Amino acid sequence: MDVNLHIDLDGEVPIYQQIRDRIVEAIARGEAVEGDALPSTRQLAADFGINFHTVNKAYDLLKREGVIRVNRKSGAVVRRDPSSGRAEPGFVAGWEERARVLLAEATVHGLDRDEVVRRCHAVLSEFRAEEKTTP
Amino acid sequence: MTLPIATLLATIALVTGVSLALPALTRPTTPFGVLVPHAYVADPEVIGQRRVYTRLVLLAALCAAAAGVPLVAAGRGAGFISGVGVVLGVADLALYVRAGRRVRAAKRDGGWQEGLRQRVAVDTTFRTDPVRVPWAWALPALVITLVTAGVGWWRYGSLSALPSFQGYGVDPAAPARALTPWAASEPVLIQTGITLLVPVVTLLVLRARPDLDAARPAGSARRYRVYLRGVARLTLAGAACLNLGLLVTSLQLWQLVPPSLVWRIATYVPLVALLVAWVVREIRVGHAGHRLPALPGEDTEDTGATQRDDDRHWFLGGTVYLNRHDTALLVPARIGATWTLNLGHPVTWAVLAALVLLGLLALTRVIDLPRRESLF
Repeated sequence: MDVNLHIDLDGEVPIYQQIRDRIVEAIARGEAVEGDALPSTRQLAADFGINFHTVNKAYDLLKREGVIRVNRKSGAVVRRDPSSGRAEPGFVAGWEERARVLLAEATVHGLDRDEVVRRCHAVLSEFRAEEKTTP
Repeated sequence: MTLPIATLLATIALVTGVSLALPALTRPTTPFGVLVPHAYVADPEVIGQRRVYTRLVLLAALCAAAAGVPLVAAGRGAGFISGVGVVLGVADLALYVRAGRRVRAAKRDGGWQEGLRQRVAVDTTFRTDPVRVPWAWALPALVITLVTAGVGWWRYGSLSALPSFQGYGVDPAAPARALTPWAASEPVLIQTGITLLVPVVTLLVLRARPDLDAARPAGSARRYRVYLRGVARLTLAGAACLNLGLLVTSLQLWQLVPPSLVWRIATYVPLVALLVAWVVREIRVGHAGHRLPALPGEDTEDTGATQRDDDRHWFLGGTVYLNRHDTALLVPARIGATWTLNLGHPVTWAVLAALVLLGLLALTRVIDLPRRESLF
């Protein structure tokens, strides 16, 4: 596991949400794969200079989303990556809801269909999932 | 030139040399302990403050020499020379802090951080695959301790009295002490303490928060990892140097060699070699390894972000850190290969309270701490 995380401690997005987002992105890029251990909440909190409850909250969220599993012995471990197979039932519906809002924002702000598709392709090309699913 | 005057001038030269080296022992992005964006590392204000600091340090050295030499020539002793060294060191530190304040004011007035995305970067590999303690480098200190203990064991039976032990070196002019197993084995006990304590300190440093640059997280993380390995090796080698000096001291204490000037100098040779090695390495690789050669692509790495400005938590030129909201206990200071305790962490206050209590108990003679007359 070789993950560089960077967050904005003074930004508008909650810190736990930023940590969750950066870990999901790292897994999508292939920097962490299924079975990789994540740092303990206290270690990560000390490295960011924040309260460990904040990291706990991010890990709880990732656990609820099925991205990581947490147990007493091995700590937080990546539960799924792009090669772990199809998404679990219910995920696509929830993801589509969030994507709908993002696409609506793009539409409201005047981005045309081609530009939206082009930008989505550019982001997906950063992820290993895209390489694996493209024939 | 008399020996005391030479000693005074050497002391002034040493303090001034270290003070002049201080600006080179920081990252380019933390001149005088102030965090600045990459775009401002060569700002005229930063360059100007470096120049002014150098001139003022040299001026302070000249003043110290001009005031000190006549007084030493008139008969002032070793205590006065030490005092000059301390006063000059404090004056140079004040000049360093002054330069930092000027840079901080320029940063604030010029709005250097405005419009920049401030980030904190973390590389999880420092936790999931941390830099290990190079235990092989701890062996020399252990071997020297065992050799010293062996020599002491062999020599103890033929001793009758002991010269005064100063922690590092002996004082032949002081009254001899009665021979006891405790008094005879003092150097070995100190060596044992060093041999056990230094690897623990090394482990703590290796597990402390890495000093990464949010603008160049990947490159700074790789360099910091290389840097940490060197720090760990040099720290453990330092334990061997300290123990070697104590071995030479033991030879004088157990009267295997005469307590002459040559052997007194020999006692300090490993210590001086250690200091020189630290300074040379630190200048060569740079603070947090920023002068280490870059791998392909590292020089052009730029996340578009800058390190989060936390100057308000740093004091005394980036050597003292106080942040109640930071859960880290040990953090890399902004100068040289140094780490500092977070004064906003409860454990730091517990440690400081324990030290103050120990000091008070020693002052009130409730407990008897070993007498310290020299460097150690």
